[in-house]
Amino acid sequence: MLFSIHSGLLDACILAILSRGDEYGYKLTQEVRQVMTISESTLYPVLRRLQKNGWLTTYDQPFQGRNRRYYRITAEGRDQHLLHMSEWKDYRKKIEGIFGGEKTE
Amino acid sequence: MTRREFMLELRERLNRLSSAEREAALSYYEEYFDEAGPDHEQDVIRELGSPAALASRILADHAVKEARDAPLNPRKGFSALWFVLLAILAAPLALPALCALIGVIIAVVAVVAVIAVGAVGLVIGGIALFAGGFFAIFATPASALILFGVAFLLWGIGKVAFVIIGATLSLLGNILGWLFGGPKGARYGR
Repeated sequence: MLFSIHSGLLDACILAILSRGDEYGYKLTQEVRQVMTISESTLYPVLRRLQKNGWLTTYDQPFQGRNRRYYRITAEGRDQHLLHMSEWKDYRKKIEGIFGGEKTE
Repeated sequence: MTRREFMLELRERLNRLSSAEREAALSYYEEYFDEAGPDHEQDVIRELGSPAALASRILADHAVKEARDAPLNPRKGFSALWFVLLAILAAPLALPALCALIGVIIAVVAVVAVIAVGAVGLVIGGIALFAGGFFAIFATPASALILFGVAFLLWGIGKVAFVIIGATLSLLGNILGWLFGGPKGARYGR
């Protein structure tokens, strides 16, 4: 992709995906990779950071004789997600204003 | 490289982390291998890159966290206070000592300056004698040779004096740097 991925955008995507339901690491990576080119190794530090921020928690669920670690968004994480969404709306409007040549107020 | 080798090297490279942090990271990547399935083991390894690169990303993230959480110079204020107290208590002794030190430094600089003037004089004298030797070379060849000899001697002494001055000045500079610049000055001096 032509546009580089800022880590804030990556945080926003993960929180958005998790706001629709719990996911495990592999699935989460694949989902994010459908829209951005990130390395498979990128997500672990990000998830760790979001967890340290208190925006998500983890729990293990047995699957085929091993454990899958699921990530679940917390209440603070949802607040953060809403903040991301409103910031994004603002940002998108400005960027599209520049791209479309319209004047922003 | 097999998955086993990859994970072993990763474990080794993460040994700086606390064991909880390390196990969390390792189990994430173990799970990742499990999810991708044994058929895609090599794909995952290629995608993850070298264990060293992966470990450095994890460690870098950890280091940022560490730096953010670390208290800001906990001992600095304390030791500064002690330093000020020590300076005040030592003042009756330290001030005369400092004056003496400054006196010594001024004396050394003066001596060096005198030697420098002398050295310049010697070199000029040498050149003059050398020139004089040329004028005398036909009239009295023997005196011309003496003049040449003395000229070279003066020239040589002058050069030695310059070397001594240079060494003294750089030594003085180092001492001053060490006294007033602290460890930083010493490092730059090297």
